Amino acid sequence: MSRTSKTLISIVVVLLIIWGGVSIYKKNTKPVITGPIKIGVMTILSGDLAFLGENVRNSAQLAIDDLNKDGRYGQVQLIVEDVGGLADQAKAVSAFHKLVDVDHVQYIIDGMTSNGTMAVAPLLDQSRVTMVTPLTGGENVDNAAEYLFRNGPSDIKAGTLPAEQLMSKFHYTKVALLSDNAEYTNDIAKHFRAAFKGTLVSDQTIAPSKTDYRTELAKVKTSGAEAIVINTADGVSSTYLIKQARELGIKAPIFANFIAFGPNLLKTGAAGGVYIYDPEFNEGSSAVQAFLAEYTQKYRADSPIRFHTTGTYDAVKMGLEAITSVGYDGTKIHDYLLSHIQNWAGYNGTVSFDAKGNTQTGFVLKQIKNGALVLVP
Amino acid sequence: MSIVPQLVANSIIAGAMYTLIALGFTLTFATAKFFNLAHGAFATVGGYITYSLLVQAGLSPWIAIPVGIVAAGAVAFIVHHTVFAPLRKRHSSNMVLLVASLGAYTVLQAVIAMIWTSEFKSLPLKTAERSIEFLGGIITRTQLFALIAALLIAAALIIFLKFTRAGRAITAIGDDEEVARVVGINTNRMMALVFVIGGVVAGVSGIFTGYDTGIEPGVGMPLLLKGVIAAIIGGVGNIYGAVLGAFLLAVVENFGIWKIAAEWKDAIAFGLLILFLLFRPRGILQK
Repeated sequence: MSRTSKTLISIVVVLLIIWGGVSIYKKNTKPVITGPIKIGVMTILSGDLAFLGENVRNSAQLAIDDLNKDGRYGQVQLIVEDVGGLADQAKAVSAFHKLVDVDHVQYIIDGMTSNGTMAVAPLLDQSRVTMVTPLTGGENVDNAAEYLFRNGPSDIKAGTLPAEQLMSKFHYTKVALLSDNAEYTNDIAKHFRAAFKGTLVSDQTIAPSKTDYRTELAKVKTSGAEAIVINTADGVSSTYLIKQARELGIKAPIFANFIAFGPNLLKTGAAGGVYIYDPEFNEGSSAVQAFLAEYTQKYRADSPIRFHTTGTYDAVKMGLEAITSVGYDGTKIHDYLLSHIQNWAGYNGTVSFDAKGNTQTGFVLKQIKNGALVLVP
Repeated sequence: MSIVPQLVANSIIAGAMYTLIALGFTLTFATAKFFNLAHGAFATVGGYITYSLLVQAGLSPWIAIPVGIVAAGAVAFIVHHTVFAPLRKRHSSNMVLLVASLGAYTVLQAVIAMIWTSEFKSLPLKTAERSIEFLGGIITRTQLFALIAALLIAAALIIFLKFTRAGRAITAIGDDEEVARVVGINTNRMMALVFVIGGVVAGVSGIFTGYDTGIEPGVGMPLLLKGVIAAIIGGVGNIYGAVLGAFLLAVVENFGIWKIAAEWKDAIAFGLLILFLLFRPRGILQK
């Protein structure tokens, strides 16, 4: 090799080393932000769950407009990234990098399903960026990352509360469980089985993509179940289950998660009397009702999932309070949330983050009567 | 309380629905000799057009349903005329036609989703659904009508193919298209008729699906796959076979999951298909 070649190669190697070093330094150094406060939202804006993501995006924007009416927070910019369908983890990671590395966002609201949340969780701790999820709440999410906070309802309670109430309130000792095989529902079913002290006379896992559950329901009918618990990750399969159960003459009361309640179920005529475990939020508050009414007026439709709207509002408010108190730094925001969100009055109720960054909101039992959810005393 | 009567009833219900989709598929395959995946989309079109006329236009079912059926046939004709006929004219291979049919299915599904959104929709009944108990099993009135429709359509197709001039021409094309052309049969026109009839029958399937379980843009493919399995195990290209295969599939599926988890249902269906392909590829009733 000639001397010139060796010199050129050496220069290239040195340049590569310098470039690598600068990249690592940039990654470890928090950006100094001037300009508007940026709040990131990662959510689903395409596919079947687009209504969920649009709700989160709309709620976040409305919350910013509402909280910043008097300009107390200066300029606040909402940056929304679409993570695509139910299980698009690659898109979630890509969206995260875009928000953090390009837009320099330090606070993100999570409007994804648990698949997306779990994909991004390790990156939160690496980048020391704080994320709050008003939506997902499984045991895996609760323990996923130090910089991941949950202010939505706990999925553990989605399993334990029905298990306790079926026996203590309704005195049902023989129950059938129909659950689909999603991460979210597996978590709930696991906690239900552990907490239920009666007999599970039928315990079946259903395939969510099907439309015919008659054989599964025939097994429930012949099992002698006093009540049926339906635990699905989408409203379509629970609608089929409830409709076909009634068509088959199954009269046992049905207890379902909140996902079952919606226009599809109401259209079937089989909804009357179905019990729904609805996520807890401060729906008695006039401020909450005013906010929900404002949502309806601005977006010309009711919020499809009200506790997502109130939870997103709370997440925005917590974030703005933290940022204006401690500055635009993910670590400082993280520390602020842990120390200051204690008995904090929000639209989801009075909440406190525990050491892992999770609140303890749960569910309330309601029943469908005349097309509406009525609280069961 | 025994579960067997309900399993029998469930098998009859499922068999009727599979028959409706398998009949149109079998007719098309027997004549055109390729797997038309767009057939599932014709069923979906029938369901959605009927939905629009019933719910959005507020028309009577006596108008909405026939129009929905005719619309499914019309879409089938358009797809045949714009996609399959030109490809067949160029003597494209069955693989090319299969891929083209997948493309047609995808386009139709996307158009349906754009017009009606991806939300699940069900066709409303004028009166509340009634459940009928028969020998310990329960079926609904809609399901009974689907069963009657499936058997009547199968009978009508058999009579059409056996006793009408057009039907015999179609059978001849299915046996040997080249010879059929040579003896003076207008094979292009007959092929178009096959697709229209197939589309019409698929439309009926889509409408009953809409009434029984509801529809969404992607409902056509899983429906079609069951129809394909039924057609293959019953005997490819044989109308009697399509009916027999549909009910056999339904019985095996429903009784197959009696003692095991219901998640195995699809695995049982496709397992049955594989067994037939390995040991009796021409099906129970050969053409």
